[in-house]
Formats: sequence, C-alpha cells, structure tokens
Amino acid sequence: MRLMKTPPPDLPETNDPWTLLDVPRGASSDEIRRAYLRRIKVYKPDLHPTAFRRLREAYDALYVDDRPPPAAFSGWGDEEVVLPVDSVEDGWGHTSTDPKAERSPKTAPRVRDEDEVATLVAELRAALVADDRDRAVDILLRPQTAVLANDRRVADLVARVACAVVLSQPDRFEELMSAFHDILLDRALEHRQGVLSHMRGAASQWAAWQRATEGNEVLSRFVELWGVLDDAELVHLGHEVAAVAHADPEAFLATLDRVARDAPAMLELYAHAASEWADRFGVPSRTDDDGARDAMLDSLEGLVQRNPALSREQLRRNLAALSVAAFVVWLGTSHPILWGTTAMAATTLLYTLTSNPTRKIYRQAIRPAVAAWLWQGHGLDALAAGLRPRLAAIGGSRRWMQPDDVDGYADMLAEDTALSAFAATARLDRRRD
Amino acid sequence: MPALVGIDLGTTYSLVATIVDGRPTVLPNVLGRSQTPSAVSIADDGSILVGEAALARALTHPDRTFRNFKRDMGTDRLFRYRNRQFRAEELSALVLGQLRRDAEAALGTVVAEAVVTVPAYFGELQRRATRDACEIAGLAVERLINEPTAAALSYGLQNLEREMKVVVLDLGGGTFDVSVLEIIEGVIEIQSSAGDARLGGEDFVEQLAADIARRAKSEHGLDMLVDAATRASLLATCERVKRELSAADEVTFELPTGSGYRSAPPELTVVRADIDALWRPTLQRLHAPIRRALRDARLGPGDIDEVVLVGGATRMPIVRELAEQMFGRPPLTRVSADEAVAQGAAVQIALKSGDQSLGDLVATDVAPFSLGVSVVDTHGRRRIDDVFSPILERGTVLPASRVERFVTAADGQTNIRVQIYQGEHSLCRDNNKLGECELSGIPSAPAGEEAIDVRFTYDLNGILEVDMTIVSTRETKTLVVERSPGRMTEAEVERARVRLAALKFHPRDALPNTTALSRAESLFTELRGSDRERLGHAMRVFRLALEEQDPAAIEARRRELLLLIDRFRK
Repeated sequence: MRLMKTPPPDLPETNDPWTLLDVPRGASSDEIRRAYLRRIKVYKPDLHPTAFRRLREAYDALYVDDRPPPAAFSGWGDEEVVLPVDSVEDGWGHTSTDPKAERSPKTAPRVRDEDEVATLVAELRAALVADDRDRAVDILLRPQTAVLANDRRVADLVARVACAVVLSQPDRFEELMSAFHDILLDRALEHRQGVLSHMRGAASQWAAWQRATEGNEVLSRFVELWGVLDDAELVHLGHEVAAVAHADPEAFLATLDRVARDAPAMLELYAHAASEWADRFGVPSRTDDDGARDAMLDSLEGLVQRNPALSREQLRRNLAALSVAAFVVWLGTSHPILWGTTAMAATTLLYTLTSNPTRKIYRQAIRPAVAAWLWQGHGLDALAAGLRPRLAAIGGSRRWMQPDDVDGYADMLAEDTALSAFAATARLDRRRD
Repeated sequence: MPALVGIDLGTTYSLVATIVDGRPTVLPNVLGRSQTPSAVSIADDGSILVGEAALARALTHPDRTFRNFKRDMGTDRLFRYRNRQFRAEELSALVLGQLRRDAEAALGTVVAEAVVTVPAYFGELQRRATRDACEIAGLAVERLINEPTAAALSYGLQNLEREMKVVVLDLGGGTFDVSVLEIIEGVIEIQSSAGDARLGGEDFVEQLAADIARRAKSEHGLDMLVDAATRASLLATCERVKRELSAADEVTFELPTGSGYRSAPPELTVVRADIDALWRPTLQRLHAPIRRALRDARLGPGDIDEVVLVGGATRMPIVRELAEQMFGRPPLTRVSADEAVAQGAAVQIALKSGDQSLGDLVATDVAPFSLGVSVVDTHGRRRIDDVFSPILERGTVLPASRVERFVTAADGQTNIRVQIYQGEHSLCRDNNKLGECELSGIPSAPAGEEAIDVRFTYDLNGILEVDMTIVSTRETKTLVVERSPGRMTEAEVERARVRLAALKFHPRDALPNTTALSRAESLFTELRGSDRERLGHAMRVFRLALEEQDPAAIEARRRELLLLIDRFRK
C-alpha cells in the first residue's frame, strides 16, 4: 500500500466565490487564476470531484479573461463573456451584484500576430483587385495562413476568395473547402446573405449560364463577383449592368429569358444579387406609389379586354383564320340573329388554330408593357397581386371572348422569373443619394 | 494485487503501459516490442492471430486479415471471412485481450482494469463502443481519456516547472487530434481540443497507392488494383515508400507484381516534391481542427510557446514543415512520438490512485463536445422545430454542472419531453441523440409562462446526469445517461464476450515462431531469383525444426530466418 496524504479539510459551507477561492475581494484576474490553481492542487478533480466543481464554478464566476483577445481575433471583442450572468445567479442564489464587478482588471497588450494579419489581408486584397484568383487561393492555402484565419478580417477574405472560384474553378474551390470547411460553413450564411451556398447550388449551371449570356459579359461578371468585390466596385458594376439593360431592354430581357430556360438557378442567383444590390445601394422600389400602380393595372386590364385586337394581328398572319374572319363578317352583315353563335364558333376555331393564345398574348402585349413600367421603378409583386382580382372580375361575354384562362396572366406575371430578374435589373441604376 | 494498465488502442498500432518505479513505462509484447499492430488474422487452422503475425498476413491473406477497424467503432459494419463475422468492437477486443496477456506476462500479475485512450473527437457512440470492446475483452474501464490529453500528460509531466502554452498535434494512423494546454503553477490545464476522426497516416498511404497504381497502368500497363492481394502488397509497398520519403528526396522501388510475374518487375521512381503536391489537399485538412482548437482557447499562433508532435504520421517531413510554418517555430521532437499517448494513459492511473511518486501533478480536461437539448424556436410567426440548445458547451472544464431555463411552447402544455443531444450542429437531427425523458405535471398556463430548469452534470467518466425541475412546483426528475444507447446492448456485449472467449487463440508461446514465418511468407512473395530461393530454404529448415520440437534448434533457426528477413528488407 502506497502512502497517501491525509485528506484535505472540507471546503467552507458557503457559496461566496471569494471565500471559496480564498482571495480578497477586488483581486486581479491573475491573482484569482493563481488562487484557483493552488486550490485545485489540494482538491484534485480525480479525487475530489465535488469540491473541484465548486471551485471551478467559483472561478468561472470571478475570472474574466481580461487579456485582450489575441490579435488574430480582433473582430471577436463583442462576445467577451466567460459565463452568462443568469448562470452566475443560479450558482450563487439570486445575488443582485455580479461578483465579477468586484475584480480589478489587469491588462497586458499582445500584438504579436497583428502584423501578420495586416500583411496577409493586404496581400489577399491585392490579388483580388488584380483578379488573380489562383494567387489568392495559393496565399490562403499556405500553412501559416491557416491559423490566422480565425481573425474575422481574414475569414471574410476566405469567403470572398471562395466566391471568386466557386463557379468557374470548382477544383480550387474544393481545395479551399478542405482547408477551411469550418469557416466557409460558418460564413456561408453570413457573407452577403448566404451568397456562397447559393452559388454552390447553382455552380452546375455555370456553363449553361455562360452560353446564355454570351455577348453580355458585364452581366456574367456581376454574378461572379457579387460575393467578391468591395462595395465601391460593386456599385460601379451594378451601374454597368443597368446601362446595358437600359440601352436595349428587349435584348436584355431576351437574354434573361434564355437564362430562365437553360440555367434557372443562376437566374435566381442573379436576381438575388441584384435585389441585394438595390437594397444596399439603391432607392427602395416604388411599390407604394398607388396612383402609378392603379394606372398600370387599368392599362393591363384594358389590354386584356381589348385582346381581340391582338387576335386580329394574328389573323393577318394566318390565312385560315383570315378566311374564318371573312366568313364571320359576312354572316354578321346578312344574318344578324346568327351573329352571336357564329362568332362563338369562329373564335373557338381561331384559338384552336393559334396554339396557346394566353401565352402569346402575355408575351406580345402584357409582358412588354409591364417591362417598360418596371423600368420606371416599380415592383412586380404588387402588380401581380393587384391584377389577379381585377381579371377575375371580368365577366359575361367579355370573359367569354377571352382565351381560356384570364386569371392566368397574374400567375404568369408572378412566376415570370426572367421578368422579375429584369425588375431587379431596373433597380440597379438608381443610386441612393 | 491486480494491476492497472494504460492502453493506447490505436488505428494501426496499440500499446500498453503502466507506472514502474514512479515512471510511466511501456510494456513489451511477446516479441519484445512496444508496439503491437492493431491487426487480426484468421490462421489456416482457424485460430486467431493478433499483432505482428496478423499484420504480415495482410499481404499473403488479405481476405482473412482485418486492419483499421478502429475507424468503424460504433458502426454496424461487419468484417467477414467465410462463415465468420466480427464487429469492430470485437476485433478491438481481440487486440485488447492480446495486450492484456502481454501486460500480465510482463508484470507477473493479473490485469483486470485499464485506462484506455480515445481520440478527443470520438463521439459518445464511439466511446461507448470502446467501452464495449474492453468489456468483451474482460477489462474493466477505469477511465477513457482523450489521446491528446494523454500525450499532453506525458509531455507536461517532464516540463512542470516552466509556465507555458503548448499545442499538441497527434496524427496517428487513422485519426488526427489537436489539444491546446497551459502548464501553470504545476497544473496541466487542457484548454481545448478538436480533431478529425477520419484523417491519418493511412490516408496519405492510400493516396500514394492510388497515384502509383495510375502510373503503373499508364507507364507499364500493369493493373495494381486487380485483386485484393495485389492491392494489399501495393499498400505495403507504399507504406514503405512513405517512410523512406521521410529521409530521402527520391525513392526508387520495384512494383509489387506478385509471385506470378516472370521477368524482373518494373521500377518506379517517386520524387518527394511531386508526392508532397499530391498530399497537399489531405494535409490541408489538418488546418481546420488546429484553427478551431486555437479559437476555442482564445489564443493566436503567436501565443504558443511550444508545439509538440505525437503519432507516427508526424514523422512525415511535410507534417513537420506544416507545423513549423503554422506556428513559426520548429516543433518539439524530443517526445517519443509513438509512446507518448500510452505513457500518458499510465500517468492517468497514477493520478487516479493518488500516487505520490508523481508529486503534486494536477490535470484538468475539457468536454470535447457540446451537450444540450432539443427546443422549439420562434421567428415571428414561424416555428422552427428541432433546434439544438447547448447547455454544457464544449470546452467546459470537467467535472461540471450547468443549468438553463426553458419555457413551455404551447398554451396549456402540461408535459415536456426533454431530448438530450451531443454535437455542434444547430439542428438536433444532425447531432447524436443520447436519451430522452418525459416531465409531466406542469400546471396548465399560457405558452411561455411555465418554466423548467434543466441541469446537466457531466463527470470525468463521461456520465451525464440530467435534472429537470418545474420552477413553479419545484418538482424534480432525474435521468442518468450512463449507458447511452450504443449499437450493442448489454446482452449483446455479454454474448460477444462468451463467443470470443470460446475462439481458439493461437498459443501465445508460439507467436514468435508464427510471426517469423508470416513475415517470411510475406517477403517471399516479393523476392525473386536467388534471394527467393535462399529465403525459401531458410523457411523450410525452420519448419523442420518446428516439427521436431527441439527448442534450441527452433530458437537458432528462427534467429537465422529473422536475420535473413532483415537483410532483404534492408
């Protein structure tokens, strides 16, 4: 049998942390720490678990890590509490004063890593500004960078470099992912409203997006660099996109249509980025402008009601339909009683001949009107919502004269992703003053 | 008096140690070595071989030799050969049993209790599986301790007089662990640990093997992945090449073509710079755990006074270079990379028994993962279910007790099901469930007006006690999550114990002979020409001696055979 020391005396029957640790009130953090360490050498965790736990709780209640956070964490200052106050209360009965308030802090500056972080940040920014993404990735993958990435500024740049390569260089992105998965998962939700996870989801459509946006490089750059650039550069890039769209809205909308068909996730990403841009740098969309909205709704309603005129447009292109129309006119002049019945048959025939008339009317009349209106600075959602009840209210023979699904126009508006991306684009050229 | 031992149950190697004359000492196995390969093989006569002999058979009998099973602890994977099948726990139990017999032979006493090390990043299931393995092997588990903590103990013990902050990087065969510790006032305080349970030296070997297989195919038209045997010898060759690359910038070797290949097997040369590039992505997976451990300890790389490398894979120059670049200082290499963990387990025995020979050594450890409950969160009108609310956060010094207050989520709610989880994810379904408890008798009131306090008390043995109190009535209910739901039930553990005890073990006395023969056979497949004939002759002579059962002759022939093996192996 080995010699054992006599067991230490029981801890005092108190919940007062100062007494338990045997330090005078107002002792510095360092004194508290050393007192705790001396005490636990007597009440070792393995041999006296309960006493150790009480000492540790007393220590947690008193000790404030008042060493300034290491340089590589300088963004962390805001989350500087060792223990939530409510658990202090719980441990010590409902004390009204926080025992930590009684200690006197002692500080010692530590700046050893600050220089390295500053150099690294400068280096990374230079690489990004020069659009040298490979170099940026290489810098991040250096071992000495890995530990500095705890710093918020570096972590932010990790996310930005990841955004820069996630679409066009998936291999390099995977390298970053294996080295920084914790940071990238953390930051994926924070950085520019989750753009990184959005981009990862859309990455498989990158090639299709590039084909669809060919000839519109600025649009492509906007999406690719949205998570990468600084604010000033983003503002500039947004204006460039708006300028292209403004110069030829029809071509721009056609591009968006191609994207909506071939790379819907990329289109969503673009719309997301553009509305983020508008929320951050632009003026709010004028959906609250009731007069303008009502005027637009009136004209849309009118468009829908007048659409036999549109059909005449189609008639001209359709010989068979034209002959039917001639027949209708003839019937109309000679047999007024039969007019209604025949017109019914003729319209039916007409719409059977032109495939999906609702869609055509939407694309040829409603959509261009709405697109032009959007460019005036109005939102799409309010319009779709306003149109729905009005169209539903069209009744009687007028409704009967319409293509089969009048209400469909509102739904089409609401679901038109290219048009909503266009609406977001429209907001890009209005800079908040 | 039955002895207590410390066991490092590793992915590739295992060790057993204890305190001898006040110093942690690794005990030799029957072959006189400190490391016993964590390998199990079924011999031709159906008996079970463990250790060096089994490892050598990985080449000649890959289908009936099992390795790296530590990675599958706590899973339902079965290792099969013909009509036999083993769980990872059972294979580990076979290794533990071997270590126990070796320790008993070395100490001359019965060994019934052990401190066993596990990677810090082992979750509750894997820890449970490790305990099960010990029980199957008939060992009572005194304590499971984290491997980096053990390594830190053996390092700290030699350096108690200095005050400093240390990072311990433990890259073993299959797992990677990081710990940050502070040595102050003679106390070793673990401040944080992190790790990757599926990253180790084996990953580097497998990558090298894949690359060499690709080159063999394109440069020599050889398919190295054609069958298990060729693949096994490729892996063995790559393991050797990896070790040689630690010392040389360039290694030339013969492709392991198997005995069927007539002409001289083609040679390949690998250059360290190329292989380093190949390994870089794997190496980068070391970054994240190191960063997290530093972040949890609230330290920057410049605050660290010493970097300690343990685990065999830290001998690789790229790992050393990485550590040096990350922390801007050369890592410490005095600590025995292979034995530090086992020695630390032995130090833990001394701590528990209050052994005075270690002086006033005190070590505190932290919870490696967060423990909490499932709650409902509301965002405006949206309700989010299954949200993980940690009560005892990772990094809390153990033993510890923490309490959180929760309120009812629905009007008139009179009972609450408290579900307990472990993990770091924000949603419970991504974490591991440890248990649950129903608390009823809450007075009916509008949502949010009745509260319950949930207190978690977690002790050094990983036993979690959960107290739930209804605040308004002071009614309390207690749940002890001692045997968290592992994959094996108690009855299954008992059945496994009986089943393994009934297995025919290869006689321990014969192990040196069997090991020599297994190694010779394994080498035989690789040699050609006159070397092969010489080895074959030595093996026949040795087998003859075995048949004649003349101890002196057996001893002499075995020594000759081993000398020959060493010569051919260089």
